Amino acid sequence: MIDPVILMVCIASATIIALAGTAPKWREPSRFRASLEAFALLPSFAVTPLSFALPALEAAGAIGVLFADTRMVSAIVLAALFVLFGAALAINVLRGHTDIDCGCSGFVAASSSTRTPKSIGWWHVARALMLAALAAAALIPATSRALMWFDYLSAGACTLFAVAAWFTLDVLLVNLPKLDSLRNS
Amino acid sequence: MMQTALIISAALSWAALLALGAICLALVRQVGILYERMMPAGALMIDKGPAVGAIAPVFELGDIAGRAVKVGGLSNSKRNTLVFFLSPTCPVCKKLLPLLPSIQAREGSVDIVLASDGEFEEHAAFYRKSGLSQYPYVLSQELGLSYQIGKLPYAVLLDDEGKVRAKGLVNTREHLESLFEAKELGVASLQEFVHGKHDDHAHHGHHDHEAQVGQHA
Repeated sequence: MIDPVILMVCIASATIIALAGTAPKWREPSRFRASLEAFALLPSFAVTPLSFALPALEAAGAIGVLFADTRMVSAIVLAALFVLFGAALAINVLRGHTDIDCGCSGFVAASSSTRTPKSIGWWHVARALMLAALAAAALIPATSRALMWFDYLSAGACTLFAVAAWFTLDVLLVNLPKLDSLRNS
Repeated sequence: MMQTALIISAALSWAALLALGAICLALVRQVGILYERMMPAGALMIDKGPAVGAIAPVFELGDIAGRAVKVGGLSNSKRNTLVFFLSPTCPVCKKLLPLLPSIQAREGSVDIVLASDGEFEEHAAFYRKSGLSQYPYVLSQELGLSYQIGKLPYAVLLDDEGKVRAKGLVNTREHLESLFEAKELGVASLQEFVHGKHDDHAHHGHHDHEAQVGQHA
C-alpha cells in the first residue's frame, strides 16, 4: 500500500518518460532498427516487425497506465518491456559488446549526431531496471484517503522534478562515452 | 487530512533533495574528469634535434611556387618563424592547416613555413587544394633530418635571432598555441612549466629579454 500522491507521481513520470522514449523511435525508425540489429539478439526476420511493435507497445502501455481500467495490464506490459530491454543490455555488456547505441536516451540521443561516440554499460542496465520499477509501482494498490488541493500541488511538482532529474541523468549517461573518447584524442 | 498531505509532500521533497544531491555529485565528477582529460594541452616534445634555446641550422630553400625561403638565422624584419612539418597523407595535418591563418593573426609577427618532403607532383597538388598559397611550402629532406622529425604534424618555433624557442608534436590548436605560450613564458615546454621547473628558465627568458632591449638601444 502506498500513498495515492506517490502513486500519481510514479504513473505520471513513467508515462512521460516512456512517451519521450518512444518519440525518437517513431521519428527515425531506421535508427531504432539499426539499434535492434546491433544488439544481435534477434533473428534477422524479426527485427523489422519488432522495430514497429516495440515502440507501439511502449506507447500503448504508457498511455494505458493513466487509466484505472487498463492500469494493471499496461503496467505489466511496460515493466516487462523495460526488464527485457535491461536483460538485452546486460547480455551485451557481458559479451563485451559495449560500443553500440542503446537506442534509449529519448530527446538527448535524438539531438546528438551519429558521429558522437556511443557505448552501453551497467549504468544503462540500472537505468532500464529503474524504469521497470517505476512502471511496476503502478501495480501497488493505493491507500484510500481524501485528497485535497495540496496533494495535487505536491504530485504535479514532484512529477516535474522526477522527469527533469531523469533527463539530467540521461545527459550524464550520454556524456560518459564522450569523456572516454577524450582520453585518447 | 492536511497533516497527511504535508507529511507526504515533505517526504517527496526530501527524496527530491537527495536525488538532486546525487545528480550534483555525478555532475561534479564529470566536470572533474573533463578537467583531468583536458589538462595536457602542451605540445608533446620529443627530445631530438636542436634543443630549445639552441641556434637553429640555417636553410636557404626554394618553395613549390619557386619563392626563396629562409628557415633559421637572423630575421631582418624581427619576425618569428613557425615551421610546420606535415604530409599530404596525414589526417591531423589537414585538420590543423585551416587554423594556421587565425593563429598567425593572433600571434602577430610570425612567418609560417610549411615543410615536407617527397614527390613534387603530389605535394604541389596538395598545396593547390589546401588553399594556403600565402605560406611557402618547402620540400626538403635535409630540413626534416636536421630536426629529426619522426612523427607528424610537428611544429618548431624559431625566434627572430634564429634560436629554437619551442617545438613539439602538435595534434590540436591548443598544442600549436602552447608553442607560443612556451616562448612567452620562456620555458622549453608547457609541461615543464606545469611541473614547476620553470624558475631557472624564466630567469633565462628574462635575460634574453634584457639582451633584446640592449640590442634595440
